[in-house]
Amino acid sequence: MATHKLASTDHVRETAAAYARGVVGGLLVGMPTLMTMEMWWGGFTIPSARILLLVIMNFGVLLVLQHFSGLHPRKTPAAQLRAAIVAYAIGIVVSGVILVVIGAVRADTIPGDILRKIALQGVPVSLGASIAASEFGAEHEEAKDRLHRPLLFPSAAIGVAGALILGFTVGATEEPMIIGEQLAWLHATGLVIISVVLCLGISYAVGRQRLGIDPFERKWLGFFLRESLVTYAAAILVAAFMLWIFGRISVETGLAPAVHMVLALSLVTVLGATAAELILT
Amino acid sequence: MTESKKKRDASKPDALELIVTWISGVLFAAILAFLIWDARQPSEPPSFETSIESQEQRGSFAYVTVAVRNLGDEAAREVEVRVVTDPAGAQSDGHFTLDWVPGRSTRRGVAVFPRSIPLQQLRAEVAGYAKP
Repeated sequence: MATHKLASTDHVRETAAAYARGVVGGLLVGMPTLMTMEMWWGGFTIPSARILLLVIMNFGVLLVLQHFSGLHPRKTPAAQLRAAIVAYAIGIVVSGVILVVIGAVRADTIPGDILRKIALQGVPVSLGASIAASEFGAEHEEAKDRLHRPLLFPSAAIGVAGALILGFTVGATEEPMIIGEQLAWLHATGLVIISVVLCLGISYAVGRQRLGIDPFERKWLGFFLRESLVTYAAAILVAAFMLWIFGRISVETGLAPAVHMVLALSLVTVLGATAAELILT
Repeated sequence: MTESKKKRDASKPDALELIVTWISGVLFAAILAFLIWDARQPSEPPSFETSIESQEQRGSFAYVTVAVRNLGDEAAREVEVRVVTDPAGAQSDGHFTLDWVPGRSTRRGVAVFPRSIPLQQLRAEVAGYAKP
């Protein structure tokens, strides 16, 4: 009986530590976006339907992150679902507090604007909370094991999460739009080449470090190229999705400027998508 | 305690985890419910209402505070506000630009005049804005 009580206290302490790590992890990833004015403006410029879509997509990403890193060390499907819900709630609470403290939410801000701001800012903070275990070296053996299997789907899923994490720091700002508008075809080609080289280079390093394989070995070359291609495609899609969410591209945007903006932001999302596996390792 | 019971206990949520999950679930559901409700509301374009709030004499200049209220649901960017003397009408005496006026919100600006003018002779009007 006494042993059972002691174990239960240990579990509660472990949970409290995990949530505290989540708050700090959320701040680490979310702070740049919490201090970005375009994100504050998102509360009154981005339609609720788009924020809703982002929150739903983010929840899927949070579930993936609970699988490979996560907020809580317990790794059953139900525990991962609970952790994803708590991670987003950490995002809501932390965003709310910081937005008030920095004066982005004031007494004259209307409730709808406040809720939309918090829903939006909660996304990057919840992503940070969900990789807290990896950030603070508190990985779970089972999660580590899942991460070290050479499978295409987990790589792509982690890639989407990483692209979102890093993409948020720049994607919300007007810079990708301005860069995109200034690009000529030569610049755009240069961006693609740099992104592809980065993608292949980091994927190679990930392959060696995370999976313990030699990607240039005949046996692994196909997997290495497939994984890099899928990660690159995921990063491009995340860049386009973020630009659409923030209203930078729409059906009214010309094809060339839209593609240029996506390429400009994809330089960041490709970095995030490929390096995510190093962060989580 | 047998190995299987230990495993079962380890997979069971502790009290703190359960309480926090319930509170988090309520927060998450509330945000989702608000976004769904808000997404279904009709969205009116910006329309403005202005009012002269005060005038303060500092040095040789008069500082006139104007409140601009956006009665629509959509936000307006770079809102140009002109403050004109009423009888002269067409002549613009002071102006300022507000970065943003979010929907259903009020923002304030100050127009500076080289002399004091009675408040009842002043009129503020929105000259234009940019769509975000």
